[in-house]
Amino acid sequence: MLGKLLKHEFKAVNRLMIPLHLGLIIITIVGRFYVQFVVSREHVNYSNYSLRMWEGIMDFMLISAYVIALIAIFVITWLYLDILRFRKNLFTDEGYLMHTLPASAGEHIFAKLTVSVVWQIADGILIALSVFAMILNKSIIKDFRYFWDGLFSSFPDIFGVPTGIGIPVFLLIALVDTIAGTLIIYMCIAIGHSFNDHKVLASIGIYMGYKMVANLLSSVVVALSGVGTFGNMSINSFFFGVGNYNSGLDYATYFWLNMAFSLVLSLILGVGAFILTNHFMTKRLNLE
Amino acid sequence: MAWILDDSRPIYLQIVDVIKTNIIAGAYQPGDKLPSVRDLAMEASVNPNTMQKALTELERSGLVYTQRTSGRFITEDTAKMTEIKEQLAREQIQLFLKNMEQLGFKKEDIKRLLEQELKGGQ
Amino acid sequence: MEQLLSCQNLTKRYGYKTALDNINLTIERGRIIGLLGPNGSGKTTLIKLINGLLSPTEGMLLINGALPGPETKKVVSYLPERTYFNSWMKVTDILDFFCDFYSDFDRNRAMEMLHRLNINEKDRLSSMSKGTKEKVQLIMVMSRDADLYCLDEPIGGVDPAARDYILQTIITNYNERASVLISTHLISDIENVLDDVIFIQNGHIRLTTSVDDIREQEGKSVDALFREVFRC
Repeated sequence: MLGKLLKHEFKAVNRLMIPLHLGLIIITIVGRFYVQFVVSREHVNYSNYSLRMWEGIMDFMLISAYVIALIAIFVITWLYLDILRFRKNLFTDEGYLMHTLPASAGEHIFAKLTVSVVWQIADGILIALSVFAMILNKSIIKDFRYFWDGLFSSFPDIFGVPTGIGIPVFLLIALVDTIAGTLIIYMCIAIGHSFNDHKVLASIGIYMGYKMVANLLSSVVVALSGVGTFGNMSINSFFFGVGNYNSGLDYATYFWLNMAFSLVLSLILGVGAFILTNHFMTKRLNLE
Repeated sequence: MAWILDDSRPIYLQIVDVIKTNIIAGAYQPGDKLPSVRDLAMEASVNPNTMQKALTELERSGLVYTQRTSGRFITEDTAKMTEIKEQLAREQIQLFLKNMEQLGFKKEDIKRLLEQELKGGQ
Repeated sequence: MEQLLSCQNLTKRYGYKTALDNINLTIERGRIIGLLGPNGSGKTTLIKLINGLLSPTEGMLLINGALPGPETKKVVSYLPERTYFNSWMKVTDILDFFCDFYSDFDRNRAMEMLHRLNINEKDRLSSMSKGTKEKVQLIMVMSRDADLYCLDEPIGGVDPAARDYILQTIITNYNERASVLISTHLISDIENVLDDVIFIQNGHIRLTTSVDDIREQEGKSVDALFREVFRC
């Protein structure tokens, strides 16, 4: 049943996600041609200041448009996958169909979560590739090797662990964070839609309430331990943690302590959000 | 076939009457196979259970019989047909007599009027 | 006979409002049952409970002896009083969807019914009228070989010809293993196809009986009795 849910979920979500990201690829290709054109233009030595000024304005506007487009694609992807799709498919009229399929609430959550995370990763990779493709030139390719070597040599000095371990751990935590963050939003939607009225407002209220409690707890934890931080952005929390480094631990221990703390926290949040979402979707479902 | 159903009597009894009338009027010939319950139900726009009940009732009266594998048939027993036909006729006559009585006619008057009507009709 | 559905002291409250109050009810196989009551009497609440869209505040509801869940959803076919398909879907998409999720779905039966109503499989739902959408939905629901069909107000918004078609569909698909529960307040239209009726009012069951019994004992139609029981 999970397989079938995934199949139909991808089918529905791809209808928006594929055109959106094809758009991103087209923007990237067009943008790259423009960058090439600008680079070749700079070799021409001309004295028409007004033309150069207009070209400068044009360049600025196009770069702004590109940045805005990237942000828009990122936001639309996130908004659609984490909020709109989940809400519309399970908590509006479509919910009458979905919740009478012979599938459990857990399977519905898994299907939505998997598709959401897969597309969020694809979105992140495509945006990164787009930026990379845009700035790529001969000297960057040449310098890239030095950058890469530098990364590998300096990483252990800063973090106390080899790059080959540190980067995968960061990626793992980023993934778990994405999953937990998505599940928390699902939880807020599921709880908010168990209300009789103002379901959307209730969902937003619950999310804000959750954020407030999380921030409060985070301050308490930081105050008590002086090491970790509470929140979803573990990478940030790590850097923040380094700033607080005063406990006399060596770098590696500090790294693992911090990573383990972030991971466990995300896992607890994710599992808790899943259990609550599941409960509200089975016992407290209240479709209009 | 029009299945005019009124509101006050059970639907299956009304269906029994319609089918009885159809058999006697010759719409179904002796030995004919009746359509399936489902088809009859569709035709009458009633529930198959109701149609089933009506057919069971007809079987009890002997107008219809079931062959286990091949379905329901109209009886070939012409004596039975005549009997039921006459029974229906008697019911009509009794109803007629009752109505005439209510109008205050004596038996002699009814007879006289009836003969007059029959003659005039021919 | 095996009970298809049984409710034991079933109660559903929304906040302070009681929608169903301590209901005891059983439904057997092979019946067509009218769930009749004025607006807001609890008809939809009961149907949603059967389909697991709500869970009881108190009491219990069993389908084939099991609590509502993925297993019971395999054998219950539900027509809600709203259209629930995405408008971008084509009829074929919907057929695929039902084929994938319901092992009892009979694609050929659905196609036959669609053809009879001149509905093209390539059409998108967005290009259809509300009435046609409702018909597509009914065809999907009735093309399953379910044990229990729950039709919530199936004849509410459609024209008389479509109404006849819907009733014909219900009769055609009848089988003695399955029961059909039809909720409506338009009684006279469906009276002839019903075996039994359940009168429901303010969350209480007022009466459960067979249509024949009403006519034999009361000498009046279900519609007439309904008007009497629920006189304002």
